[in-house]
Amino acid sequence: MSLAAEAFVSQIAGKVPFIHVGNQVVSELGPIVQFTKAKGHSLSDGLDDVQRAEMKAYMELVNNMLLTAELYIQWCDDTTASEITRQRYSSPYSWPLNHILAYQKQWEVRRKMNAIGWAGKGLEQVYEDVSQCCQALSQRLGTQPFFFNKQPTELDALVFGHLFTILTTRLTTDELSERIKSCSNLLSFCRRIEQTYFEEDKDKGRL
Amino acid sequence: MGTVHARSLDPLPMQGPELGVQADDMDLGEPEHEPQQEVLENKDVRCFSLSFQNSEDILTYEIADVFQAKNLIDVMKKSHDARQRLLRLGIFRQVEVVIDTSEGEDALPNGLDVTFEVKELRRLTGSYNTMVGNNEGSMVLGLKLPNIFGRAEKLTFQFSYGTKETSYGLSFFKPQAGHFERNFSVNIYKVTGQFPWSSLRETDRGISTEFSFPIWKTNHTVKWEGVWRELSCLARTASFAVREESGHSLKSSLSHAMVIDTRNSAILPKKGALLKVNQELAGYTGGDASFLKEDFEIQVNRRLFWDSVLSASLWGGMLLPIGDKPTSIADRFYLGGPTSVRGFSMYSIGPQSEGDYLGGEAYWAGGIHLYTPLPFRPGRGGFGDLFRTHFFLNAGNLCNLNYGEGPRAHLSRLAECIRWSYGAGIVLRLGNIARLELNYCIPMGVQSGDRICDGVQFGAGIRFL
Repeated sequence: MSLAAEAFVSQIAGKVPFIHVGNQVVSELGPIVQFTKAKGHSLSDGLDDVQRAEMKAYMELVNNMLLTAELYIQWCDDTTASEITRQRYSSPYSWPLNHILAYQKQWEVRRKMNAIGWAGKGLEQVYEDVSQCCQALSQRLGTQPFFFNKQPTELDALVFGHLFTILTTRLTTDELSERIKSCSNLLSFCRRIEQTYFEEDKDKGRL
Repeated sequence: MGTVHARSLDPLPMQGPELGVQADDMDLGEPEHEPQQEVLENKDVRCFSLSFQNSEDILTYEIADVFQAKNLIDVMKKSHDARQRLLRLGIFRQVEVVIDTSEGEDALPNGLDVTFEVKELRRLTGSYNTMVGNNEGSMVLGLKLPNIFGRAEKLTFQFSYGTKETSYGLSFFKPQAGHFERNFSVNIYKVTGQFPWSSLRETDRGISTEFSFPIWKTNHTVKWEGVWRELSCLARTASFAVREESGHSLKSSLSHAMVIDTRNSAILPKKGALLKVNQELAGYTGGDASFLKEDFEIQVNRRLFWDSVLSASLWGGMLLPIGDKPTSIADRFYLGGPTSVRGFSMYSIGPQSEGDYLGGEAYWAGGIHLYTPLPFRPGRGGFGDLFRTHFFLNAGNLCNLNYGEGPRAHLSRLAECIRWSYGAGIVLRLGNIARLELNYCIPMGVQSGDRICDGVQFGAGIRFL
C-alpha cells in the first residue's frame, strides 16, 4: 500500500485493515471477522472447540509479540525511527505538520511501550522475543500447508500479514527478516500464500 | 462579553463599546445655544492634563482636534467626538467632558477650559459565562488586559470548556497611536466545531496575523493565517465521501478583505449600504490546501413610509482549486438555514452524499426584506422598539462548477435549480451584535437531497441574509 494511502486510510477508519461495505466501514481484524461471520462466512467453521481455542491463543501470541515488536523497532529504536519511520509517516504532509504528527505518533507509541513494560527492553531482547515467537509458530506449522488442517484460517491470514510486512519492509538492518527466514517453513508458508492469493500484485515487494 | 458565541476571536469592534444611544439619535440641541454664539467668537481652548497610567501621546492624538475649535459649538462638537474616540480606545470605562470658562492666573480672555474626566478600566478584567447550545453546555472564561503597554494594546484570552469540546484563544491587538483604524492583531487559537449536517468534526489549531487600515472610505484587512485542521467523523454512519475528507491538513493562506459600510447600525439598519469583498489565496505560503476563494456580500437599506425599512442583500462566492488536489470540505461554501436561505435546515442545500452535506464550490444567495414595527406598536419607546416584524423573500443556489467550461456555462449552472422561500416573522435585536428571529417559512424550489424546515423556524446569529 502506498504511503499516502496508508496514512489516508488510517485516518478514515482509525486503523488498518478495514473494509467498506455499503454504508459501513469495519476496521481491525476482530470486527472484520465478526462482520463476515454475521454474513455467514467464516474460515474457522471446520475447527472444533479445542482447536478454536488454540487458534485464539496463537492469534494473541502474534498480536502481543509480533505486533509490539514491530512497533518497538519502528518507533523506539532511535536510528530506525529517525531514518526510516518518521520520514515514512510524515511524507504525506507538508511542513511543519509532518514533524508535529511524526513526533506525536512517536510519543504515543513510546508511551504505550512504557505502559506494557517494553520500554526497558533492548533491541537484542526484542529480536530474541521475535525469534521465540517464530519458533513457536514454526513448531505449530510443522510440515502442514496451513496451521490447522488443510484449510486456511484467520490465524493464517494474521501470521501471513505480519510476516509478509516484516519481510518486505526496509529497515536499517536485515536482522529481523533474517530471524524469520531462519525458520524455513514459515518462509515457504508466506511464499505459498502470496502465490496462491495475491498473484496479481506483481509490483509489490517480493519475498 | 454577551452570551452570543462567535467562532472567530475578534478584538472589540471598532466603534467601541455600545453606549446605549444611537449616534443618529443624538441631538446636540443647537438651536438652544444660538444666543451664546456671538459672545464667544475668537477664543482659545486649553486642555488640562489628566493623570492616568499610560502614555499621554496616544491620548493627545485623540483629543488634538479640540484645539482647532473656533467657537463654542465647535468645542462642543469636537469634545463629543474626542470623547467617542477616547472610548473607542477601549481603555476607559467612562469619559466625561466638562466645558467651563477659563479661570485662574493663567486664564486667557475668552478662553475655555475643557476637562476630560476619565475612569480607566482595571488592568486585568475577567469574565465567566456559561453557554448552552447545540446539545452542548460549556463554560467560558475570559481574561482581558485592556492596556498592557500603555498604548491601548489589548490582550485577551478566552477559554471554553464544554461537555463535548474545548477551545481556547489568545489575541493581541495594537492600534497605531493617533490612528485607531490602523491596527494589527495576532491570534493564536484552537477551536473545535461539530457540524452535524455533514457528520463532521473539525479541530483547528492556528495562528493568524492581520493588519487593518482605512483607505479613503473603505476599510481593508490583510491577513495571513496558518491553520492545522483535523477533520474526523462525528458518527459511525458518516458517508464514505465525508470519511475520505477526514485527516490532517495544513492551510497557510493570505487573505484580503475590503469593507465599505455606510449603514447606521450593523443589526437592523435603517439606511445605508454595505459592501464586503473577501479573497483568500492558499497554498503559496506553504501548506497542503491550495485554492483561490472569492466571496462578496452586498446589502442595501432604504427607509420607506411609516417607519418601515426595505432591505435587499446579495451574497456570492466561488472557490477555485489550484493544482490537482480537489478542494477540502472545510473550505467549501454552505447554504441554507435560519441565517441564510430560510425555510431550509442548517446548511442543508446542495451536493450531498447519504444525508451528509458536502458543500459546494460556488454559490449565490439573495434576500429582500421588509421590516416594519410590530402591529399596534406595543411597548413603544422602550422594549417594543427592539422587535420588528419582517416579511422576506430568499433565494439561492449552491453547486460545484466544472471549471473547464466558460463563464456562460457557470452562470447557467448557478441559475438552474434555484431554491427559494418566502414568509414572515418577528425579529428581536440583541444589543448591537446579534439578532433573534422567529419566522414562518414556505420553502420552494426544493431539490432532491435538500432538507427543509417549513413552518416555524427559529434563528439566532450575527450575520443574516
